[in-house]
Amino acid sequence: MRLYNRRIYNLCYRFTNSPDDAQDLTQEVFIRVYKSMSSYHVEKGAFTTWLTTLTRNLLVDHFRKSKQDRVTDSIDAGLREEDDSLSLGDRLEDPRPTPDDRLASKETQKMVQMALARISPDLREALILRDLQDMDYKEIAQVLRVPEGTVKSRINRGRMELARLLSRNKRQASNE
Amino acid sequence: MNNEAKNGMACSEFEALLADALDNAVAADTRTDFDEHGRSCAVCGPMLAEALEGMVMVRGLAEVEPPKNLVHNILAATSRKEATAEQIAEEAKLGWMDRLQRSLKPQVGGLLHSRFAMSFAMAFFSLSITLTLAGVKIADVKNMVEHPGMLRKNAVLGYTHVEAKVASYYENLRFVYTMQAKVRELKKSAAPVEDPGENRQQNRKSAPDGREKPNDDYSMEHDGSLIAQTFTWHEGARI
Repeated sequence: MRLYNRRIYNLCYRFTNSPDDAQDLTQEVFIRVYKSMSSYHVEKGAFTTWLTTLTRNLLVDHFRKSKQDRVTDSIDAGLREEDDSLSLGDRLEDPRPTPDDRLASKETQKMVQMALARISPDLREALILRDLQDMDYKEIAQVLRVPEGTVKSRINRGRMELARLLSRNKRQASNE
Repeated sequence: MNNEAKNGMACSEFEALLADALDNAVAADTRTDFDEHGRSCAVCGPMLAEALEGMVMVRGLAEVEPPKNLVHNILAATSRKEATAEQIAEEAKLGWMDRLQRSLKPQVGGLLHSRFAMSFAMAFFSLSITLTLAGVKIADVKNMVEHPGMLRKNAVLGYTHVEAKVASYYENLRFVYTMQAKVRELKKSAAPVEDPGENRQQNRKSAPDGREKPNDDYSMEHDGSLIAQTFTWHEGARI
């Protein structure tokens, strides 16, 4: 439990964007693990995948219960707005501070977390599992019960949507 | 997004490789085509840039420190669950009386001690016998409780039943009196006519002390004929 509580707490926190909910959910996860430990078999897969699946199911239940239907910005709408965005080549030469520099500030962390909480749950969970929990596509596909291609697509869309939200927030902040 | 091949790669192919390319998991020759397509395509280039930025942003998020009491709370919660499971197993071994006593509050549970239980049993026994003797059936009471409308109906039926019995009793009594009157009339018409003065004198003579004997007859016609007379209890009434 001591090995996994940090991982589970982070997963819950990044998904719910609430420390209290994350704490309650982490407790609930371990109570469920305790009760259903007998149903876990090594041949079914890695313990981490099983634990993550259990956590994800609980998060989905929590999401449905709390009706936490966030306003999700459409990718298509975003694409129209971002037509003037920089190309990869231009980006590399962009004199603005790099993402690493921006992430140094606590405020940026907060902004990213807020943007993460605003993207659709399907994209968010795939993104969290890949970029924060460092799971491979196969494991994520197993947890989300979708094909690997769908997982990759969701991760791409999630990353793009997050970048657009952050860019929009930044523009709004500079206008104010 | 069009599927037109640019630099040896279609946009759909570029998109399919996007995730792997960001993980540096694309073969070298494919990577060259991928990069070339990304630089030349007006749609795929920005898409790659956004995906890259999003990935960097999310991966840059620091790990959150869980609350200090989290482990303690989890241990406490799981211990409680364990204790509950043990309690259930223990309760399963107990008899129904013990379980009943446990389920009741301590104050009420004390009433289940032998002396109180005996008193309750006696009270219940007495009550049930009284009700049985009074003709109250548990099924009737149950029906009345379950169907309150039956209460009024039963009361009306009971009253009607008693009223019918009383009416029948008085009808029978009237019939008896009518018959008595008829018999009396017949006797009167059949009996010879006697002098009432003689009869009275005879009675006077029978008295030893010379006084007129008090008449025990409780009913007499105006002409002195006897209708009914009281006798000792074992002789009954004579008409």
